[in-house]
Amino acid sequence: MFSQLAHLTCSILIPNATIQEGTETLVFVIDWETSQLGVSNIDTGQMIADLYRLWLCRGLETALWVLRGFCKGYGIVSEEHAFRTTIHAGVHLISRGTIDREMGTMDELEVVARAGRNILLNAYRKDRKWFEDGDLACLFDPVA
Amino acid sequence: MQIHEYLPNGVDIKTYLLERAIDRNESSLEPAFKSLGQALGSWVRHFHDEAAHHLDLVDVVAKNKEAQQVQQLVTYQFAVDRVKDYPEVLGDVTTILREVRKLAADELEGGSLQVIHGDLGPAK
Repeated sequence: MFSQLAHLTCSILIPNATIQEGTETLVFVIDWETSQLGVSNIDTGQMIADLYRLWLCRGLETALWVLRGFCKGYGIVSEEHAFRTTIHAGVHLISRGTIDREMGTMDELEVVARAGRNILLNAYRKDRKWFEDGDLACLFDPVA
Repeated sequence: MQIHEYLPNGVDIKTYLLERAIDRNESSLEPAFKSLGQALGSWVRHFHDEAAHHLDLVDVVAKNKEAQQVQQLVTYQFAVDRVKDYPEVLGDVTTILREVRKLAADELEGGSLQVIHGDLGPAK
């Protein structure tokens, strides 16, 4: 799974074929040049923010399905960890989600800024109920 | 340049979701996409947990301090900078954006850090 390729626009590669349950799909995680010591929420938050952005900008339900699967696969850490992940996701949406011109103009990406703002604000307030009622409920589903 | 592995007909997951799956928001596909996400999540968790036990890896990654600074800049500082682009949306969270920028910077001094990918995303 470890591999490295330069100058690609995404750190996850999959075969360009129909994904089928029961069939093995080889997934590569690449671009390790920024591997660093940090908090794990940087990875989980970015992953969730980027997938959520595909839903916000293009209405891709498939991205939400991958997002929910990702939360389940990563599993429980703690409520505190979930809130720290949502802080990073909110900030990532604001900082990097609003400059992807492939996804829209600055005006069109205001929806991303607004989503990032709402996620950040409610993560900062530790408003678990707000998240449980929204698209990112999967982050809090299994937290006791 | 070294080639470690080769993925024939590979595509990044953002492109895959945008181009291949865009007309296929069919609920019948939900289990397969959830399984893909679950496998990714499970692998990332395993990587986070397992890397901590490889002290040689920790030592090498610890030297990449420049990447830590880039992460702080492009995520936490750039978010503060975006307020001027979206003042009506972000104006009332400016203080929070500055606080979390400090939180993220303080974490780097806190000592409870682990090996992370640092740019793990389906879109850039």
